[in-house]
Amino acid sequence: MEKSVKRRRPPLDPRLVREVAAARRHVARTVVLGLVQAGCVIVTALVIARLGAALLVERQVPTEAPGMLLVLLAALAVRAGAVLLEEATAHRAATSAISELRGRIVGHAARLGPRAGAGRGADLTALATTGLENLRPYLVGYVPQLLLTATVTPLCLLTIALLDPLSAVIAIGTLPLVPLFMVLVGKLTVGRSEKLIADMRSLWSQLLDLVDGLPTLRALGREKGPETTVRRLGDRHRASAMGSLRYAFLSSMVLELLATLCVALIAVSIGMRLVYGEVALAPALAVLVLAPEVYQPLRNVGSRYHASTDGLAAVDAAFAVLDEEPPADGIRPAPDLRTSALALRDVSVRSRDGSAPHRAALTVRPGRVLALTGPSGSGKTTAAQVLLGLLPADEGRAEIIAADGTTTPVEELERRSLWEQVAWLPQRPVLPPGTIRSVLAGARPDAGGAELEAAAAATGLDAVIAERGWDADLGRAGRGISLGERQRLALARAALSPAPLVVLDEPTAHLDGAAEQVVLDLIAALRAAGRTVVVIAHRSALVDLADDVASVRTQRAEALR
Amino acid sequence: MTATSPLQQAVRALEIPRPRLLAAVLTACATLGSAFALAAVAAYLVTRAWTMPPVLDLTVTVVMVRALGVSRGVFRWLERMLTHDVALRGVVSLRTNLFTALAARTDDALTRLRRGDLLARLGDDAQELGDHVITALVPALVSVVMAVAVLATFAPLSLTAAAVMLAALVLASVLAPLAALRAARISEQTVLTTRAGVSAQSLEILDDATSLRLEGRLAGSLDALQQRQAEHDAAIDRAAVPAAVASAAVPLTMILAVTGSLLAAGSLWASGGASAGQIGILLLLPLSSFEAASALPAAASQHARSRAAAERLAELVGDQPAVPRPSVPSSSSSAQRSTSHLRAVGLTAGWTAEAPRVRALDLELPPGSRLAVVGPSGCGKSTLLATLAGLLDPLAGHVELDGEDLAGLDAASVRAGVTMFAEDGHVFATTVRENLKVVRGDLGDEEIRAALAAVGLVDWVAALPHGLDTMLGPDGTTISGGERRRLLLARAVVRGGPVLLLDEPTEHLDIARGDALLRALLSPEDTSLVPASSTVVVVTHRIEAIPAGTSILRVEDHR
Repeated sequence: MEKSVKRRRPPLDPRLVREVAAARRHVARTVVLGLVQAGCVIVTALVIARLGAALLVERQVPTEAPGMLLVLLAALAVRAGAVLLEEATAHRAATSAISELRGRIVGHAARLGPRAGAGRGADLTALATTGLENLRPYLVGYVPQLLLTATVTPLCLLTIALLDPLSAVIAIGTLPLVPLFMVLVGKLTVGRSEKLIADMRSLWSQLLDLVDGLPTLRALGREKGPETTVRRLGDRHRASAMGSLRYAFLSSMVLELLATLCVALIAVSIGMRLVYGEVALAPALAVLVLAPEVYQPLRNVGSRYHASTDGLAAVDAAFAVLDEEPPADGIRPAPDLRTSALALRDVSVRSRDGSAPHRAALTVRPGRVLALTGPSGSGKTTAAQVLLGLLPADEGRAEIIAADGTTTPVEELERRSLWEQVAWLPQRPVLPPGTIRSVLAGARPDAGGAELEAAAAATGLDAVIAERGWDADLGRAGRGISLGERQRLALARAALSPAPLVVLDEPTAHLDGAAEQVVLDLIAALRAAGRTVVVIAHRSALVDLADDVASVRTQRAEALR
Repeated sequence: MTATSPLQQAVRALEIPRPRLLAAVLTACATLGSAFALAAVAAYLVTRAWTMPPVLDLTVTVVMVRALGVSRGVFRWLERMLTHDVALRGVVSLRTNLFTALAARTDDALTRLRRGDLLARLGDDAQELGDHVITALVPALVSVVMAVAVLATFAPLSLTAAAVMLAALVLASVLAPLAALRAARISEQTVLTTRAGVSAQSLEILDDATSLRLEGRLAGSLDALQQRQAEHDAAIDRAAVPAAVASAAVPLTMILAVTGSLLAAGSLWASGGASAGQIGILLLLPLSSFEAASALPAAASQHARSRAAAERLAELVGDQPAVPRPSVPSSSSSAQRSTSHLRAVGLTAGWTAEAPRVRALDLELPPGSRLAVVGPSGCGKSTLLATLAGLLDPLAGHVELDGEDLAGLDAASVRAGVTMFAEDGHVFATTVRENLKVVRGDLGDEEIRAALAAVGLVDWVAALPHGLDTMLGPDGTTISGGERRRLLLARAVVRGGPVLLLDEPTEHLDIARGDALLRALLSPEDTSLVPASSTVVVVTHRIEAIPAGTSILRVEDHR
């Protein structure tokens, strides 16, 4: 397989073999099945040659050699079986590999913290959903053929060498021409595919512009003209595509040419020597059968080139995520948040343009309400995430100050012990599956019915319950109820939870005036109960309610001041 | 007309010229035929050579072997080029036909379609049908030709061998594609159901990682993902078996072909009914007879994909109107008129019959009349305009242009008489000049400058980097809402014509400038924008700016 001509990276990614068990087993099994297939091909050739020679030379009809005939049948059947097994297990292996990688990527990305998602958001989503599926054609179609070039091709060559060394010389003489010509063809096509993609993009934007303008053209009575433009754009693209295909197809031409030329040269060579009795008939026939098999896997690899580039791109993208180290968990237990303060000391987190937040400094004191404000995109949520140790700061640090004054960096804390003391309400709350009752009770398993009802009443959830009942099923991730209802249930969970620190991210974003008052009352009630509240806020009503106000801004905003 | 499947319709829309397709198929046959002939001639050469004939007797055979050794590669390149050319031409025709069909759609399907969907239909689905030509259509035709060629080669040598080959070819050409088709169907359904579940769960975890970690629910969610993945995997496994059968079908049928032909060769040689060369062919050729058939499983899966794509395209194009509009211009040749009389009689208008927006409206607009249409947003002003312009068929009643029902006129005559300028008129990603010439191809620069001056865009154009040649839109200069409105209004100015229907032409302009333009449009004596003889209907919110004495239609009175 090392004889492949692709530049830069090997056609079989070593990380895939090393780290994904299903892929490793697949490669091992494919090598074994490849050896079996090679054996079958060779036995078939030898037996057909022997039977044919016996028939022509000794006039022994094949039925007089039932043993040989059985061996032939067996070799053909085993080959078919090997192909069947290979294909079936290749699908299974691809399925397992995709499944394993998807699970690991999603889990790993989740542990990397919010920035892994923010930095390459759409890419990561595309990779986890459709990108990884490109591994299937790669593992099912390309890798087995690649490995066959490492088993069938050399074994057939070896057999030919033993039967008729001169034929082997011809085959070995033509084989190195394959990579040579491929490199030449590659040089010819370089830059052409980029031009093709650029052409394609321009075709698209022009076509879409016309489609968008169709109602306008129709109103003007001019809708009959543009289809000629569509055709012209298409024809231009076709011309450009054919221009680059002209060279791209040279590679398949070279492969085919060398493969058939090699067979033809071998046929002529042994034919001429047969005339003078320099070779026997049986080895001559066997060589003739084996010659095309030398090139067959190479030709198959060539025709599956796209599967390999797409598959390798998916592998690269997957390991780019997996190779990133998630922040390490600390070992020190978190102090009691009922008496401890949390603080950010000049925390900056790098974002796409500059830092957001930039040098954020704030202190969350126990039992008080802190409003965290700032314009959209200034890093309010990010600051809260750093505060809770969800995300490492690029500069500055988050620390926790216990009642006795001991200061500990948040990154040294065992996160679980901190997070157990926190109730977090994101902008778009996501709920575990279950009924309203089970989801609410999940916030505090020891809560009684009266406490549940009190929490529901305090957040306006009681209206939802009156309409739907306690046992209404929320469906997956709470999608069975509206966003506003989900918000109220999440608020009720925060109210019910015993966590001393409650973090609310824009809790009134989806609510109207009346519902907003419910949130304001709830925050007041939480403070009255001695709990600490951090509220990320746009609206002034929330800011007015707070005991302390901290604002964050981006590096850019800082520079403009 | 017989009912045709969406795939047949789509393939017809590719408008593939027969000679080109034939050329592609013939070169493909020549490619495969070269390999097949090479195997036959080489087998003949070797076994014939064994009989030690004079070397001269072998010359022709040797030359043939060498020629065939080269021809396959050359034919291969030609075949690839011709097939891709046919397919790309087909895709261009298909896209053009789709565009024409979209242009002919009278309902609002176009506006309802998301841009992304449109891109996918015109892009991926059209491409899928191009692949249909390359991967399904040509290989299927080639496999038929090659099957005949194989049988024609074996039949003169041994009828028994030919019969065995026929059975093997039928097995390989029917069993394998059927299995592949089944696999494609199963995986198609899988994509629709279980894969969506896996994607949704993955997205949920990626989007909500913070909450999941804080609440310690991440492990549980990952378990749920594994479970969804397992369901998905089980579905894929069901498709894997037929797929494997499809790929093993050719090696399987090879057993039949090789042994059958071998036994036939045995009895033939024993009875002395064949030469050594012919026996060589019978011995070795079966191994090389299935190349065409081995492309059929891929053709079958492509067929399944093409059919799905064609169904989506059929949905996009929709049902074409059963009764086509008359294509002959009307006798009164209103195209030449400079004034027209527009009348609405008992007109009920709306996008759907269930929700008429305007009911039983009678309207009389003699040449040169001015009408302001007012009413709260969403009450049907734009719908009324589109119906008056003949862009939307009335739900009841009718619209007359110079005494002729619009429904009876061809589209060109209607547009020549009545032109509507929608508020969301499209500004094309081209130059300022072309954006006005879209109204009339023969428009001169003088007219363009005059129209731009009339709507107050002279300074704007002067400030543009390339004047009238400045590119607008996505990749060019972007224009503000107010400039856009005035550019659209300038289109109406260069259009002129008997009846102009303008939807909110002065929205997004500052009040003073907007009101001045509105007054110019609605005052018959002000000809800076439109000639006095033209009929002008303007939808507006600025009731205060409507000149005294202008007729006003309040749409909410006609609901």
